[in-house]
Formats: sequence, structure tokens, C-alpha cells
Amino acid sequence: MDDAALVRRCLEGDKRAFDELVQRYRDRVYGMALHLLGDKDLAEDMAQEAFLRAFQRLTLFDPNKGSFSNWLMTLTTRLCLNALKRRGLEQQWIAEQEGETFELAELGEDALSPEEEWWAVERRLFIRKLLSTMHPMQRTVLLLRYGEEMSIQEIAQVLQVPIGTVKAWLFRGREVLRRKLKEVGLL
Amino acid sequence: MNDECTKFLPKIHEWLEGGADEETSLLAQLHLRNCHRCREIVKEWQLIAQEIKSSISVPTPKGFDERLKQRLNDHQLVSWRELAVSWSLTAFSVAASALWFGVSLTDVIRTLPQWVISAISWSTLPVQWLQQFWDFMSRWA
Repeated sequence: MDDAALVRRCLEGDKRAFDELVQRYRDRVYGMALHLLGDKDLAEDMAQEAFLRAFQRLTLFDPNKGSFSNWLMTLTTRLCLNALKRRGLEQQWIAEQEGETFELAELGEDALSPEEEWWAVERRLFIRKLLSTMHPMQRTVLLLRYGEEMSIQEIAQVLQVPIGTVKAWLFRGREVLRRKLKEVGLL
Repeated sequence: MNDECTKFLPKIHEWLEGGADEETSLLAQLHLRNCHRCREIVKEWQLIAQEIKSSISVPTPKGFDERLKQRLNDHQLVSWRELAVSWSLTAFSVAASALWFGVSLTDVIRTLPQWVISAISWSTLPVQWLQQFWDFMSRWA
């Protein structure tokens, strides 16, 4: 059953339909919050808040305007950016420089040879670390574009910035990642 | 990477992201066809995009679903509490009006079913209005 049908069933009062939506998106919503906030407890809190708000505002979701996935991720991103603002960007920036790294066990891996797997895990860990040192808006742009495959126009709408700004952040962000990965021999 | 490549990379990026005009697209493609180094860079960009894509999902902590269900239930309980307050206010208003206009208690009890039916439809309205207003304001916030 597709997302729009599940939303319709939720609105008709079927609680299991919302559970199904949670099952489908919880890892992505939590992952996005964790990448943006860099704090596991706060990320869980924001992920739950995102689902709670989605549940409360389900009547506002219009399938003709976009996918449920984009709607939910927009909600999550805005919540996380507001949380960052509340915490103070500077404080968060400093915390991330010293911050914790993700545990290897969290990463999960497709079927690769042990050596390839090692390289992929190393690269992914390094990308995560680099992402956490970027400006929150630049990091958000990269995550929405490549993680969630949103279009540049959609990202501009989510962040309420001009399309040109999104393009510039994206180019610079990807170039920074590429150069740093090159420097440490992971590309 | 030479100066020409440095000049062309943003154009190639724009073309790949789908926002380039016709001229930029053509120039980017032409440069890519002739430049091995830029083709390598594009491959590296694609790899980075794939890595970000595959690392976006992170398994939720243990007990996430239960805690979320609890929060959803709490939210629904709050709604019921709001409804109860609304009903109590309506009942109080009805009783106060009855006393004010000197209507006897037996009359009130006799016509109670009708009042309850109208109270059900009217008492939920303020809560609904408030919720709609709150949703509207939150959306703009």
C-alpha cells in the first residue's frame, strides 16, 4: 500500500496505518535528526516530535503537492533547525568539533568484500565527521539533496532561501567533502 | 586540474544537478567529453552522493516505538481533557442560565437529552477552532 493510501486510512481512524508509516520512515527521520543535531537523545526527541506533529497535521498533507516522504522530511528538517537555533549555533558548532563519532555498529553494510567493506565504512564515517563540521545549512542541503533526493527547488522551499544559494552550498559542500576525502586517501 | 577545469567544474555541477541552461549544459558536456580529470571528479562526486544516501538511515534506539506510542497516547489524552473542560463549561453555563431564568430543575431534566445533543455539536467547536488556529499559526512559525 502506498503512503498516500496509508494517510487516507489514518484520517479514517485506522491507527495501524500510522504505525505502518512510522515503521517505514523512523530510521530515515531519526538518521536525518542525528546528522543534523549530532546528539542521540535530542535526535530521538526531535524524531518523535516530527511523527507527533505529522499525526496532528495529517489533514494538512496534500498528496497532489508532493510525496509524504518529502512532507515528513521537511517537517523533521525544520524542527531540527529550530532546535539548533534554540541551542545556539555557536555552541553546537563547538560541541561538534569535539563531538562523539557514530558507532560502527550503526552503519549497516550491503554485501561487500571485507576489504571493500572496511573502506566503505571508513569513508562513510569520515563523511559523517566532515558533515558534522560543516555549517548546519550546508549540511542540511547535502543531506536533503543526496540523502533524501529532494530537488533543488524543494530544498529552497524547505529552507526558505534562494535557489542560487542552495546550488552554491551544494557545490561547495560536495567539493569540500571530495577534497578532504582525497587528502586522507579515501577516494 | 588546470584553470579551464576550475572554470568548468561549477558548470558541470549545475548541469548534473539539473538547473543549467542549454548553453551551460552543452559547454559542460563538451568539456567532460575531452577531460579525463573532470570525469574522474564527477565519479567522485557520485560516490560521495551514494555514501550520503546510504548513511542517511540510522536504526532508531531501542524502545523508540514504545516511547512514540506513549507520546501519541498522551497527546490524545490531552485532547480528551480539553473536550472534558469544554463540556463542563457548557454544563455550567446551562445550569447557570436555568437558575438565572428561573427554570425548574424538573424542566431542565426533561429537556436534558435535547440539550445534550446540541451541547455535543456546540461544545466541541471552540476546541476545534482553537486547534485549527494553532495548526495555522504553527505552520507559519
